[in-house]
Amino acid sequence: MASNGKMLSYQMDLIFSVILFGICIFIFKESLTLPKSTYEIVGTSFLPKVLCILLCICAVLVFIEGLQKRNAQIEIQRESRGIDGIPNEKKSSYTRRPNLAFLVFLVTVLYIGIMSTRTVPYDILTPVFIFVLGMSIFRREKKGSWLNFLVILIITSIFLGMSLNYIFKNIFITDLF
Amino acid sequence: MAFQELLYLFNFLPMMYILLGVFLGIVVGAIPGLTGTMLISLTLPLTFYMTSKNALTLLVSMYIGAISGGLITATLLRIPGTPASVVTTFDAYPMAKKGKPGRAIGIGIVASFIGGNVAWIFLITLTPILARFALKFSSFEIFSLVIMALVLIASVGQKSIVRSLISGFLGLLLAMPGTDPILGCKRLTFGLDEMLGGFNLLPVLIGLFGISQVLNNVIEIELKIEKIPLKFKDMFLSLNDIKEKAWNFLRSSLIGTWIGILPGVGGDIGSLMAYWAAKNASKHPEEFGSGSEDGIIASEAANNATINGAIIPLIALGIPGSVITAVLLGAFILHDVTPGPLLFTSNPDLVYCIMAVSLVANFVMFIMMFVSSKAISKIVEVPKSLLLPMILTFCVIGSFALNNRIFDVWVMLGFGLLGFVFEKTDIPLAPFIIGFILSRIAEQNLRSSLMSSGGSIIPFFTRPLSLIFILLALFTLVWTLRENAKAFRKDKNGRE
Repeated sequence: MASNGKMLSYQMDLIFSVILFGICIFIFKESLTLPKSTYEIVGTSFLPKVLCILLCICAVLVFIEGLQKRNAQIEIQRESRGIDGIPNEKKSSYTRRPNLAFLVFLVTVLYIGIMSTRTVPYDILTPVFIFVLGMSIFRREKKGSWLNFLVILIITSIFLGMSLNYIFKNIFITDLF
Repeated sequence: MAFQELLYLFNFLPMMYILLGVFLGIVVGAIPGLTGTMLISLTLPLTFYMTSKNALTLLVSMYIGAISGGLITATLLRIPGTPASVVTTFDAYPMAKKGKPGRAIGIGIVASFIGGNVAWIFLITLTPILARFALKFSSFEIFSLVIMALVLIASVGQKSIVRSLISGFLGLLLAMPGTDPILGCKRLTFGLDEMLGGFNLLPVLIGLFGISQVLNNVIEIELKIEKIPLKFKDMFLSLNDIKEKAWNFLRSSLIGTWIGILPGVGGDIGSLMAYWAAKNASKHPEEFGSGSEDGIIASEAANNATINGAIIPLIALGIPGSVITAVLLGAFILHDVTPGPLLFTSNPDLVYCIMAVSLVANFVMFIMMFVSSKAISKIVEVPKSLLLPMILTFCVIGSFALNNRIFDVWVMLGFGLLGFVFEKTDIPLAPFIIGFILSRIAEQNLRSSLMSSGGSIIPFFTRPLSLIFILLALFTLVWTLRENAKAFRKDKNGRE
């Protein structure tokens, strides 16, 4: 990890290539079990196998690229170290918030999870979801007055939850529970 | 029939769809971080309940609005609302900084309008010719054409060919699960009954373009934007202004149309190519990048011309000319319409309707951009903390409403995560989506070709058209690999 908590691009490359390679091996193995056709030459497993092989080659290339980037990055860091040993990074005018994105993703997973149990009605669950996300993001965005935003958010979340429920249930005949 | 379709659009409902589509397109195109592709993906579920004609009227109007709307934020905030307006920021923002934001937007709107109309002429003349020509294609040619399209999109304008190929191959591979198109047996379903139909296109699109963009926006939530105020009266141009720049308008529109026709290459590349051409042809190239009117004209005329350019191969060949047209191809599929050369005989009214919409929506865009640019520039100030949760809600309900299945919502979330990882690892999304959509066509045509030739691949190289497509694909691939290697060596030498 870099000093600002952001994952470096070579780290992303290395992790991505390893995962991609693993998934391709798994799918390739799975495609070996597919039935063979008696009249067709290539069969149903041909393309998945070819694509897995091609993707494995590409994953290896990205892995090598990641290693080269790592070496280059170490050199750059060594060259740019200040007197105190801390890298002289060009500071961005704002802080990136990967943790907030993770939280948003987690809340969405939870929302879908609760939706799938069909225990909480849609027109209650959705306003709560919008409200929780809205407040979590607003803490960082800080655009406009806190109180105004709260009022608008409450009205919007209730209106959206109820109107979507009404439209999908009565017009599109989709059971939203 | 074409005239009838034009008249049809002046009925109440289709006209409302055009107005709504263009307006929403402009608004979403103007909001940094939201794109037309996302808007169209999220609107797709709502179009199930419309006729295919009305659905495409709405979606094509959104496409035109979204590409045009990017101009507003590119000029006033130096943030391109859409990728197609990146080049516009080079000159429109410096011009706005010099106190002429109205003129910069005015020039951009006129250029967008002219670009759209020039490309429209090609849309109505070239599409039937190309479709008639494509009727001669057998499975050999279709497979080679799909491969050429994939190689083109993976090569042109991308930073790394390897990453683009990963994207394209993954798109092809992830479209494989489900029922085999020829044998009808289960394939890669991992014991899940929900996977028998494979991954539905709609959750995939919503995930890739909705969820991943929301997550990226959340990461950059603290980015503060400084806006330049806009005056309405400064936006108008004189006829002399247009006459003086006529050649630039025309050249940029032609470049945009041509780039649009190339499979998978969109407005961003079109505007960049036109910008280069305008700079090279200019008597004052030094002004480019510091507020040149010619720079704005080139970028905006070309990016709007790519819209109609990209619709040409979509209708005539069933091959999308850009990422948004790939999503439009998804709309065709969802409405049980197969685009391609046979569309002229099976659904001629739909073809002429799309052509008429492209023309009318362009006029609507022209008027709406002039009238509402000032108001729309204020919409971009809506807090993201209000907008993003709403988009997420639409993503979830849009995926669920397709089949009333929670499985589709999980698929949407999974593909959203994949899109996010792609973004972080510099892997372009365009090859993935085109690969995913064209996978079935590629596989069916490859396997039928091999069955008819007794397993021999020689006919792919002995049939002239198939050979041309393969050679073009090979040439593009080798050329791009060479360029990538050159850039890598230069980068390495620079470090040493």
